[in-house]
Amino acid sequence: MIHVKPSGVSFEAEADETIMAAAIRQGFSWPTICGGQGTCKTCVCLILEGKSNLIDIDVFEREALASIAETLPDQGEGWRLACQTKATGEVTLRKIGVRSI
Amino acid sequence: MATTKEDLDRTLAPGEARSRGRQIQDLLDDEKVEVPWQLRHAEYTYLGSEPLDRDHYISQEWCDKEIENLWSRVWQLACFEQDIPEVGDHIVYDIVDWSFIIVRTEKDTVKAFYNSCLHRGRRLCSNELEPANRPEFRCPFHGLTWNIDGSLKAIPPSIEFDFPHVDRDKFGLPEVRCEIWDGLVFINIDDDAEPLMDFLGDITKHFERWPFATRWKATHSAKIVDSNWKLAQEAFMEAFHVLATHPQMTMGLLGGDGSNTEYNIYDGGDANWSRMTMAPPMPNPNLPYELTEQELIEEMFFRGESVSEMGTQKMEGSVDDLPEGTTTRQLLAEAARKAGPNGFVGGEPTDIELTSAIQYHVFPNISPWPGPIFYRHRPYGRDPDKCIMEIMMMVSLPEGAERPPAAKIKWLGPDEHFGNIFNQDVENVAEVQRGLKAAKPPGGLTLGNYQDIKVRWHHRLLEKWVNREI
Repeated sequence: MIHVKPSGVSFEAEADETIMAAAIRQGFSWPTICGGQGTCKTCVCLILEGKSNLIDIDVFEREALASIAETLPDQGEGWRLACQTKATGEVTLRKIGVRSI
Repeated sequence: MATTKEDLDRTLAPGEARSRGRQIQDLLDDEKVEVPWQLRHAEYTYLGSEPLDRDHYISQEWCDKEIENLWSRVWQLACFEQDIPEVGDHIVYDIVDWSFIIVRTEKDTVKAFYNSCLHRGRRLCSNELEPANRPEFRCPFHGLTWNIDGSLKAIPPSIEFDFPHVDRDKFGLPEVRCEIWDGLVFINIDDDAEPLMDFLGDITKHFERWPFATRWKATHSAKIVDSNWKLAQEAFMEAFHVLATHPQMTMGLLGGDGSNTEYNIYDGGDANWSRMTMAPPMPNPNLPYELTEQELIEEMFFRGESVSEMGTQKMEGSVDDLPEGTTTRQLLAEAARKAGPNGFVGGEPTDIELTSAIQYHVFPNISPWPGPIFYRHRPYGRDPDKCIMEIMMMVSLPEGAERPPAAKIKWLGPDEHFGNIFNQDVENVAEVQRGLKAAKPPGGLTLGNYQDIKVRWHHRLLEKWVNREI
């Protein structure tokens, strides 16, 4: 189960789909420009709990996060791209603009 | 408001299409105070879709033509009056191979001289970074000396016997045209150039609202950037690169994704100045759904800082404490009003002036803002692949406050950078410079009709100068 603050929405994510894809499939909005290619970085979110329930950061996501790290609080520590990461268990994250549409 | 390809084909002439969402002129309709005429003076002319020649950036031949036909004839900013406030204060300005001494000879007179001894040609002064005040210009090589007004002071007595052929009265330092606009000191190598104020045109009327003479140059940084001077400058001539280059701004913070920027060129592109106005912070109209102002404000508070005119303002508070309907730009404008003087003349400041990056350009190489930022971009010697990029902060002082001394130029090393946003731009342009050389496909560069108009305006004028049509 994925829990999103501050809107408070929760949804299930399958093991083989990204968090953003799961949200959109179930009728929630998620800020993105590139639509999930991992290039616009607009989907970036802060993981509050359940970091270990996410798949490892691969090289592609690492490079993308590194490119915006300086512009995020705490040099981007704890932030992931919702269009790249997948969950294996409970995760609580913070992302503005995630809600039912 | 969404514009489709079909709309473009059916109804709009080239250059008429605009991005989704509200435009700057629409946002001005929301202002609660009188909108200054300058913001409504928003001309645009379509200048064609012809490809841009990449040689303008990478060819040594083109670079040499610019030196011969542009830098040798055009008005260019040498320094600020406040750099040399006292009689005798002088500073060195270099452009390509030329070097000049800019000196205050009397309380209200600034002059410029070639920085070259008339004996063997040594540079007389070397203080490019900060002003100096000396009673005379004495050549460090053999000691020939000139007064600060350029007239010969002395040939040292021990060597004077050897110069019977020199007419002392005619051995003054050759003077260079030097004229001032609102505290900005310009020079021109061309004795036949039109007066500075004619060259500048109506931008001088625009800046009557945002005068420079009363501001303080609080910082001045310079860096050698690995790109042509025009490329580095063009990083600030369009804002739609924000989407890809500055993803941290994409949600709508810090001016949004740049797509709603207004671009202005004047007199059909013939005016020597132009402008762009970035949209203030507002929800990005290009997200697949509508982000609310409330969500945007929440994000702004969460990130702990926001940027108005790229100057960082710490934002604290909670969205719950705000009156319903508060917009991000109102909130930021209010913070800016409380933060201090803005120096605007003639009426209350508008939200747009306080929250949008309004950037003017004066051909060929400076960018004055109504806000504090000021850019200058110069070629680095005769190397088309390098330039000197400078950022000054021109801040307004409270009424009656004494102006502190103007900041010296601080050179940043290769590993130092101007700040997050600027660093993203600097990294970009260096890769553009390399990319331009990486291939030479047929045809030139393909520009946007509207959003790249300032780039096109600049190159159009440049070509005219290089071809001696101006």
